[in-house]
Amino acid sequence: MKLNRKSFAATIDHTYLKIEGGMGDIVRVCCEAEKHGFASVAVYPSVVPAAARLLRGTPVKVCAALGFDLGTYTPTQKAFETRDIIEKGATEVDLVMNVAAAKSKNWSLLEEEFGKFREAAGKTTAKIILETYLLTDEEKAEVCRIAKAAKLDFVKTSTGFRAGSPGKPGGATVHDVKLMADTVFPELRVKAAGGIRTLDDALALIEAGATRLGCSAGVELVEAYAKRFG
Amino acid sequence: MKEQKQISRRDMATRIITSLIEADVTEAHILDFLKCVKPHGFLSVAVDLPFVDTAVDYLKGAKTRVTTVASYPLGGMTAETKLDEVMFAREHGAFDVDVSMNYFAIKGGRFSDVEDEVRRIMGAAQSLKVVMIPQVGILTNDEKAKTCEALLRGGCTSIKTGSGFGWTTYLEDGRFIHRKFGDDLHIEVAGGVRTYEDALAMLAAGAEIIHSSTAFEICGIDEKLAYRQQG
Repeated sequence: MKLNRKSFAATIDHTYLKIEGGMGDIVRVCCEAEKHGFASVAVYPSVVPAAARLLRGTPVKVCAALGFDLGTYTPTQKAFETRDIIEKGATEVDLVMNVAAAKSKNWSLLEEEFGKFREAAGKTTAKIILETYLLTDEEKAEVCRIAKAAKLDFVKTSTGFRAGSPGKPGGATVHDVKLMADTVFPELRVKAAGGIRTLDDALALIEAGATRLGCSAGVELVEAYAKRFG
Repeated sequence: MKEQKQISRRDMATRIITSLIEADVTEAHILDFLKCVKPHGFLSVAVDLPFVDTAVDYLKGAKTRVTTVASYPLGGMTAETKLDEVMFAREHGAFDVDVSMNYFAIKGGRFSDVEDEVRRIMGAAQSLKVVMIPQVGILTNDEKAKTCEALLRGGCTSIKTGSGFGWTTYLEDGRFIHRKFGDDLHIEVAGGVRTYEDALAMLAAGAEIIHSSTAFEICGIDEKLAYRQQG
């Protein structure tokens, strides 16, 4: 990917998933996303209608964080939630997959989950979150194959909960992004999320194959990019 | 505070809800867990929605109930999704469901929205007991009081102070809520109760039920659960 200031900003899903904040924070992240040209704001479903109102008429997408952060409910419920949130204004959907299904090699459950997610999302950009720190490399690859077969749009590394910096449990790692990209390219793309705090983190993950970054430090990242590259 | 302070270590089990809720908990983990829990007379076990059937089945005839959760632990789901989960819990035979509240509405002072969501959840739950989670660790005293008022207006009479993920409930939180709402609200405490002494203190502060992941230790039961360590 040819990077410049604008295309770098456009990789960022500007994320606000604290629960102790208020609507003022949602207004702030929406304004920041529009100002800097981020791909989307990623927020809880409960504030998707508000974010959709705030961002109406802008190119910024409204990304709903579904199943946070455990992802432990049934495919039917996930499909219900996906349809419901798209009706309420979400234009992208990030869903936490059933990690336990992968851990118990219940691949047919994941096939069902991803299939129902794709169907419920329709044309809306659908990203499935692996929570890679809980999976082996073999499990990550198998999940990516299932996501590819289900024709999802993105595989995403992590929820970012329990995340340190990249390389620490919970966050996006270069290793995982490469592995996922190798499995899903070119049909699907990779979103790295969790613990992305510095420009070097961000550039390394993009270099590894990520075309989206989920992070709350987006403003600092674009400012650092401008400072380094102009 | 109605009851005896000195409930014995062993009898504490009747006040404790123990849980196994993590992203990578499998059916096999749940069955191991239920096997460990069943003989000890815990009040309830909390499992995630996909495992309610397994737990209800396994605990048939036992005193221990099955608790499940909705919009857990972060409360970010819309009211419609919460209703969907609550109805699932009801249809699958859970005894009660712990529901994370709309924290943005609470923080924004929109207590009529909070009340409205609670009322809709109570309507969907019917005979299923509903326990709302205000997550007191992120609230000011004023927000705690207004949240309790809103959920009482919405028809809910039980709260669980926190999700148990990341935020601590302090004794003072238990006392505060009990002092203001003790006549109307049943208080369950979650978040930071690690020892028998913690549990006793919380009961003395007005809690009726304790949620803890160290339930065995609290009750002095020498049986190790094979918890998998994770980040």
